[in-house]
Amino acid sequence: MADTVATLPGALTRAAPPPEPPAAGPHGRHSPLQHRADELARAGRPGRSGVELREVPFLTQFNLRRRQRSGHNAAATLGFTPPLALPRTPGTVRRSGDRMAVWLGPDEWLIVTPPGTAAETGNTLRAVAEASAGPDGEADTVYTAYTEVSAHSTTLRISGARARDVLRKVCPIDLHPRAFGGDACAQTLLARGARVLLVADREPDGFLLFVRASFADYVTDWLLDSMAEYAAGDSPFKNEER
Amino acid sequence: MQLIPCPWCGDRDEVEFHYGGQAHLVHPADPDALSDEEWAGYLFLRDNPAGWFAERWSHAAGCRRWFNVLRHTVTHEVYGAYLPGEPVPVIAS
Ligand SMILES: [Zn+2]
Repeated sequence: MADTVATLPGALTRAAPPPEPPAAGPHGRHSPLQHRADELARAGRPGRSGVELREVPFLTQFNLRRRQRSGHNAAATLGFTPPLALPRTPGTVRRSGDRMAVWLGPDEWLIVTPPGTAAETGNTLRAVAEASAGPDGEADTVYTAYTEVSAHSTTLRISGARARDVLRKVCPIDLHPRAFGGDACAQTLLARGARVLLVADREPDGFLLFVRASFADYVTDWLLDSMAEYAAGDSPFKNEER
Repeated sequence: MQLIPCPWCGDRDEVEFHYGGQAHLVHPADPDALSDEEWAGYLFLRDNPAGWFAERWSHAAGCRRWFNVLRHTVTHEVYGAYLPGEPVPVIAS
């Protein structure tokens, strides 16, 4: 499209130049929420009754599909150091070191490893696929497919004593610790339209939210709005830290 | 809002699902042998009971799996969910 805008018939004015792109972050890339880092840092409130929101950009993510020809689930242990077992129970996560395997479906997982580890993770998944392939056509033949999906979504980390309250306003999942424990995950709709993957973080009261890159701003807007009252401080609590 | 029981994820809001219509429709073994009327019947004609109905649902915003639900079209009561390939549950009266 031409960079001119017609205002009146016959009158052409120069369109405003596009804004300068922000400086690239680590790994030479731009993360979907890089331009809102300062806003996120200002919006939260640390401390015992606070809540904080941050982007965790550039996590390496692989989608892994694995099933037996017979239709049975084919879970496996991935040969990382230390090894990482795939969770068989729906809605659960297995962790090992700084890697995790998230249940997405009865034959589908998301493998999450630190930024910049795509080559290593890809090699590990290839080894699993080759080790278990077996002769084609046999009932116990395991079919494996893995795809790098790192750029599909970015990750938000919401933490603090009020994190559950913030998420409850925009997410229908029961987040009580009894129902959504430290190894829980859920794919659901956030704020009525955004498909997200919600994963309990290692640290209590922390959650990781995997959001599609194109929905990241929308979800961030909702979360910031939902956080506002807790960030300002709330009367039933003594705010020693303020 | 109806709660639909995903066999894997448990009860979730209806908005997370896609409705797939009547379950247990069998694709004709030899479509070429069908008359136009029979083919149209396979494509377009569905049961429409006021009562228990075996339906297909897909957990589109969750685990993205298809499954079947036995649901009452008048009361919206859900008898239960079951996997594709399994028979329709018998309702204990
Ligand atoms: Zn599901």
